[in-house]
Amino acid sequence: MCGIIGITSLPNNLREPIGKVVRKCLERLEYRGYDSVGIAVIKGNYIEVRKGKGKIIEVSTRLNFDEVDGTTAIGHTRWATHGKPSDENAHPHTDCTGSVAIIHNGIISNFLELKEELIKKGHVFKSETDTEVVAHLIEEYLKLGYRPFDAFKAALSRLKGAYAFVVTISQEPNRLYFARNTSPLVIGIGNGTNFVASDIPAFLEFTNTVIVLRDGEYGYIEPNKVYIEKDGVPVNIEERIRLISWTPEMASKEGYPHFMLKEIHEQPFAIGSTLAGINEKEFDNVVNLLLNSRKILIVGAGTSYHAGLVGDYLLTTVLGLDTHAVISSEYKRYVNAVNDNDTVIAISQSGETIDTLVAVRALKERGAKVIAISNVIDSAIPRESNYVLYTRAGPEIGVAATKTFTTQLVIMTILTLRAGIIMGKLDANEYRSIMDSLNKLPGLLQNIITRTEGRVKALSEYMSRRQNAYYLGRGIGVPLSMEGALKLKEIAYIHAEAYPAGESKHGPIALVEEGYPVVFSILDDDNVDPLLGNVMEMKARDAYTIGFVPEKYIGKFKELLNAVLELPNVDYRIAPIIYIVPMQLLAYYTAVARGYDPDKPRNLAKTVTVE
Amino acid sequence: MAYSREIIGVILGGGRGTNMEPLTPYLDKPLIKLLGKPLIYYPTDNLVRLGLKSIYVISRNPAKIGNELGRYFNNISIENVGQKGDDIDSALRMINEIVGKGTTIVSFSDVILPREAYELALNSHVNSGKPITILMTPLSDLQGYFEVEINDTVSINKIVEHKSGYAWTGILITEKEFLISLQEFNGNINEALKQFKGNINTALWSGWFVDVSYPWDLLSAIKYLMIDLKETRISKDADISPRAVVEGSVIIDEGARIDHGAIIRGPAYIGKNTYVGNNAIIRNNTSLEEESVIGADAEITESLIGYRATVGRGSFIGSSIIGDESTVEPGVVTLNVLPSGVEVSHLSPVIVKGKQIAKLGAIVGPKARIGANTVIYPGSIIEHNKYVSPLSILK
Repeated sequence: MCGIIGITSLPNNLREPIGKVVRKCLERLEYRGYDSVGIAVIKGNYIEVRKGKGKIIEVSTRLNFDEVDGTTAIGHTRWATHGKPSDENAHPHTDCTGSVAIIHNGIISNFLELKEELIKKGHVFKSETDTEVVAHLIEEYLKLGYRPFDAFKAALSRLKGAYAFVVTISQEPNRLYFARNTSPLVIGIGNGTNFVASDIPAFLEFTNTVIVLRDGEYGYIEPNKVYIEKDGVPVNIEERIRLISWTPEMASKEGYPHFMLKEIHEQPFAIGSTLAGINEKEFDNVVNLLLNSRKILIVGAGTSYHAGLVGDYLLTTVLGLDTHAVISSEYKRYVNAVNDNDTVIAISQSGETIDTLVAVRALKERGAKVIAISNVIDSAIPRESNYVLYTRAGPEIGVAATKTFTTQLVIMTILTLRAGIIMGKLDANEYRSIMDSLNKLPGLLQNIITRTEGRVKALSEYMSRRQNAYYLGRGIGVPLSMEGALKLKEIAYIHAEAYPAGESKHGPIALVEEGYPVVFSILDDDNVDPLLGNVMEMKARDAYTIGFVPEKYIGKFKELLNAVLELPNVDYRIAPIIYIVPMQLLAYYTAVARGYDPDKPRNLAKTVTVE
Repeated sequence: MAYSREIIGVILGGGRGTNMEPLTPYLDKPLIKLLGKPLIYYPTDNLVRLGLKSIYVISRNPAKIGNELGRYFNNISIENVGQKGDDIDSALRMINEIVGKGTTIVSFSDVILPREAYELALNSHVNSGKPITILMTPLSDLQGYFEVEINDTVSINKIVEHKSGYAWTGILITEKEFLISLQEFNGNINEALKQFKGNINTALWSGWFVDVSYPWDLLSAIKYLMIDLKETRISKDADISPRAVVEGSVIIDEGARIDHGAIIRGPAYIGKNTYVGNNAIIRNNTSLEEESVIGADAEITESLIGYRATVGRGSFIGSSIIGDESTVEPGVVTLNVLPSGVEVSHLSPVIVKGKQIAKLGAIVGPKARIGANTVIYPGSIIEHNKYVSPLSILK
């Protein structure tokens, strides 16, 4: 995802320099990405570009966006998916002459062939991005004598993929061209100033008159004019104008009341992107390193630590590797036991978690190699690591981690499978069958969300009236329970504690009384019968038993459970990826039922950058 | 929120409401009152609060409904239109006949949602740029609801079987092109949706939602509407004994009289000119409508007491509905939990008439009379005008 904004205004119509207006709009779009930023302003007959890697606040201060004056400008905030964040790869991109500048959100799927063609014609490319070809393509048509709008249309006709563009051409200093195909784009109509942006909140401070563009539409804005066309036919602008006023925050949730719910629902897509974005070579290197390590430490904090525990379980139990999951802030315990034969896997959504970064530095100092698993390309931890595996979950705004957890598990599972087949611990059939289930995960998960969401919502009414809960499981169900309990704690403010189910009778059961909620994670593994005993123990004490149960064991558990959530029979090694989703929903709906905002849990921050 | 022009509201209130029959022999479902206001007030109020200035109400009895709504809304154009035909298709077909252009928000008269749900749907619609938006909500049991099914295309189906998934909240936001298509397909929404394959926006509502199709849904509606009561509001024209206790969030309307020793434990609504007798206790989620009378020592919990209804001395009314102008004589007890062996909870509720509910007492139609010291078993329905002799046991 990226955020784009274009502004064109009559002279002296804006109360502040245009660079400052663009910067403000970009800050509203920051949720769409924040690894590099840039602006371009038309100055007479050339275009001035200022861009760089970093957050909006840093780059705009460093490059003095606020002082840039002019009447027509574009701005872009990037979230890298391919091509690392760097000054060169930041948008806007320009052609060879510097008279065409472009910002883009989306992917141009045929850019390689176009690039080859343009290089043959003598164009020089400055970045690795797909976006830059569009600037050169327009330049090419301008050279042939096309008028700017015709050149823009001609270039569009050559492109395949999903995109939203805004283009400035210095010959026409008061006009911005735009086009939308799949990626969102919205026009804002002000008094003597018009806007075009990825999203309504970007310009809501300046105008509330909008036109939402539809796929296949393109055109241009001038300070007093909006022109839209589709397939060569002009669109009636009047009919499409909408007046709105809402809090800028609401618009970005795309039809969900909270970011957290949106992100829970995005998990099938996030997992699909992560699977599609796997870098084979990097995985081979990492597997190689793991197999040649004496010991493996997995460090992480919060939800990432729980992902680490699942990874620990897989590597230890399935592969027999000497693995320990460590809470980042407790790394000191292992410092003396680490040497240059060891490997550290550092898990951090943001790649900036200070506790994890400190642990990575200290363990690296002892000679350990570091593998990072992160969602933010080229962030601090990946930069300091020997290898990086990226989850491609897209920006996560909700403070409670959801889609980054499941995608981290996908990465850990694939690592285990690949190592397993090399070590001979998994046979080819088993490997293929689990890989196959992983590839089917997005569809399966979608189905599970639809089937369980209503039941979970009903269950949340009960949970919302409780002060405490236990989450119990065995085997890989233990870290799963820990993550489920953490979710309930952090957003619904219900004291929830996870325990290995077998341990529950050695203490925790003393607290259980009538109606005490106990959530069981029952997986399709060899722990089913002992778990049945644990459920009976709780039931006998009148606990309110809730079970996440595979279809084939429903009959066995049904009588003992007050609430049953039926899940498909899946291999226990990938079950946590599925089971956690209804648990996230349970925490979410319980928080909503209790009247709390799940996106802004008290006392918590998304990325913790203090020790 | 303010949408200055072009957005028109349509409220569909023309269903027969067959399932509500014990309560509706004399007035239509949209006019049943909860917390002092008719059902139809709630969707209308939500549309007005979105900033809409022009709202069409399609119903079977436009004159009466127009009269009632006129009492609450000023400066808003509310057109009342009589419905031709009873089914949803004919209702949807009419939308284009009466509005036909621009953005239209369609809402059911009997679905109660908080205002935020409407805001969410409208924001999502404008932001999506698509010609139609469907607001849906997850439910554990879709039986009796319209299910929203999302595959390659989106469809809305009436569900008969037990199934979990997403229910349509009845809120639909459409642009002109979809309305035209709806007209072409004679109001058949699924045929129209098929034409817009891939161009349909769905929004997901995660908060509360009540579709009032059975009498006991009114009790859920009261419970949820009370969530929004955060404070106590007592009319200066109410007469409350200094020895009465009012705690929690309670609305006491003008002319209400609360006698010595009575306890009102909120959230509760005490309507206009009502009377609560000595030592009576009104517990949570109870709505006493206008001019109702609660005798001394009676206990009412999670119930709806209709207009001019009377509950006699020492009665217990729990999870029940007492219809307008009915009389419950002294000492009547409604049982609201099944006696033994059946567990009642949100996940294994009582099933009444094939529909699940958590807890239920009696549904008493209007102008009925229940004799003294009668015991009424859970889920009993007493028809309107019926006379039950004293000391009866109703199962």
